[in-house]
Amino acid sequence: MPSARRPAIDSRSEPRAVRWTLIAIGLAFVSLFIVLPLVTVFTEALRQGVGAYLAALTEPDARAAIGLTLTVAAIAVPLNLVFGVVAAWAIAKFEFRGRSLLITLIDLPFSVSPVISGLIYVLLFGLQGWLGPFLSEAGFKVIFAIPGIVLATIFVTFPFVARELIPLMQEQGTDEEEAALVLGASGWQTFRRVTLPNIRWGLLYGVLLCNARAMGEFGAVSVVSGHIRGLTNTMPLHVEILYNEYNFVASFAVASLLALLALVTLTAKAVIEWQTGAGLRRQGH
Amino acid sequence: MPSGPAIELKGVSKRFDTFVALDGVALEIRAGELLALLGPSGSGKTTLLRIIAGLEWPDTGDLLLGGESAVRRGVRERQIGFVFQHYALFRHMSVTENVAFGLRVMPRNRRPAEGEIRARVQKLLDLVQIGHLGDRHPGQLSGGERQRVALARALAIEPSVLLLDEPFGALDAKVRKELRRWLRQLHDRLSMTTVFVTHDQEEALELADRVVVLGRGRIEQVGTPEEVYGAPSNPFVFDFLGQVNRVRCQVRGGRPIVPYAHIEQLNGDPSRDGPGTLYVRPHDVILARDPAGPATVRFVGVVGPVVRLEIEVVMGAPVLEAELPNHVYAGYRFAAGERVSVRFRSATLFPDIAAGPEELSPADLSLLSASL
Repeated sequence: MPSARRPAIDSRSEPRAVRWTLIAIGLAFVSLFIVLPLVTVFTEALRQGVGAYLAALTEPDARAAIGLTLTVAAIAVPLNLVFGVVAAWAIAKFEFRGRSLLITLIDLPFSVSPVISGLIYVLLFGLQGWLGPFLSEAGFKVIFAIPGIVLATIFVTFPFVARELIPLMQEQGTDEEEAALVLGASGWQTFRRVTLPNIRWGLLYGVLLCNARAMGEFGAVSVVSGHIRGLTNTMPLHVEILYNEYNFVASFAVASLLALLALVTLTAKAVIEWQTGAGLRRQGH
Repeated sequence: MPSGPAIELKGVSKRFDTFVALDGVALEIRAGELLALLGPSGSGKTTLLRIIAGLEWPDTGDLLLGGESAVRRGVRERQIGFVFQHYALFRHMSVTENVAFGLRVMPRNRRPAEGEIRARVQKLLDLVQIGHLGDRHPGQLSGGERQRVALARALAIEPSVLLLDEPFGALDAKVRKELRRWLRQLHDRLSMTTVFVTHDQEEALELADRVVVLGRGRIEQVGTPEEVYGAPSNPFVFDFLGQVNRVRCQVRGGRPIVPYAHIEQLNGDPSRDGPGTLYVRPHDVILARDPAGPATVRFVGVVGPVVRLEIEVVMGAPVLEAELPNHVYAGYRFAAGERVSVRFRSATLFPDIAAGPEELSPADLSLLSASL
């Protein structure tokens, strides 16, 4: 029916001028708000040469900040990985009372300002907080110490993995799991051999996003860390301190590492999407 | 145990919130038979199948597999072959790995060696006639091929019972017919107790040794295909299996009165006077050209080898459907508008339950007045 198809084609192809204007606006926005700042970070960092750049990164406080950020991510990301998979599994595969409440709670860190999240931990674990006196008697220091930073990071990043997996697992349904059980597989075998392979790319993507945020989180961590140089400064906090001290080269040098992390995450995301696309094509969807 | 039933259900009930899926179902499934669970959607047939498999638990009642209560046995321990409606193949595994799955997840002491797994999988793939597709992924297969993979996967664990949920539901008509015949042959070869769920009466009647007709969570009738089609035990089965005309009538003095039709053979019990309904299959409606006849031909449709006619008896009364083979019709050549006389070769009477005169429809009243 060529006569019936023609209007559809016409309505989809805008006049050339409109198309180019839209593309130009999009490109201008992306360059102004994303490309330009990114380029600035690297040019500022390398303004005094590679030597100054490397010196800023290897200086003890910077090394401590990098080390702390890696430590925090190394604790928070695996914990959120486990939590995210468990929560997504429960929400996607079972009907239970409080299911929608759980979904809302998982979204909470997205809707609450990170600064507030940090303050909540101060109120809970700080010296004047509910659990503070008890903890300090027991010899635990949470606020202005690594445990507080880890807690705040976990809180801020815990939706990422679960949010990524819930729609995926809901779409896949429970048929394959049921088939595995009927064939005699245990719960663990079913998870490892059927569920996990089906969600692996979504899971990896969720972990990447979670990791990027865990390393880059500023607000919540800033409240609980206490900004003790060489002890409780993460990379984003270190960037801020250096900047406030007018030490721009060092500040941008550390910032460039975070920018690099973002670029790596983006690239990995693109690769994953390409992979899942290929996987879907293989499955004939 | 060739003597006892392979599967026995005793008073099985199951409800989901307020919806009653199964209501006191009792059923014996014989070893080696091919049984169809037939019913409309919502009749509880799939729930029944899932209870046998252990994917659902009955609220009350008992399930016996091979004479032993299985309600407390989990789905893993029942060793039942289950073919899901949409096959539920593992999408990230090759066909070979799909079929091998049940063997690979066995506890180490029972698991066959790698070489034996391979050999058994290949044998199964050959059995279901897809021996050449082992390296494909499910996404690269046609519906019929996926169905065969699902079957081979279910058979790999050497189940005592094979359960199939709407096995041909997702296939197109031609493949469906082919697979249906093939499944029957396979069943005769393996002589494995097999239960399948379907809403397609033709499928159930053609394929099964016995048919269980389910309606609203209850078993309406159990019997061979001839029994359930030829002698439905209640109006529900009559309605569900095949086309049927419902003719309102009055029972008086031991016979139903239909003013415009002669009844040759009456089934059912006409001993109670009162309103009733006659169930007449279209092919039991016999027409003869008769200018003084009580009925008018409204429509003639040739559907391949059969001819369907619509007959209007009284203005406003429900239309009767008649069906006759094309070669028989060729001798008559009825035309729309022609007057005919009507005979029912066979009709089954079911008395109306608790229907007072106030519930009679205008059509009933016109029939009544016509009979006076």
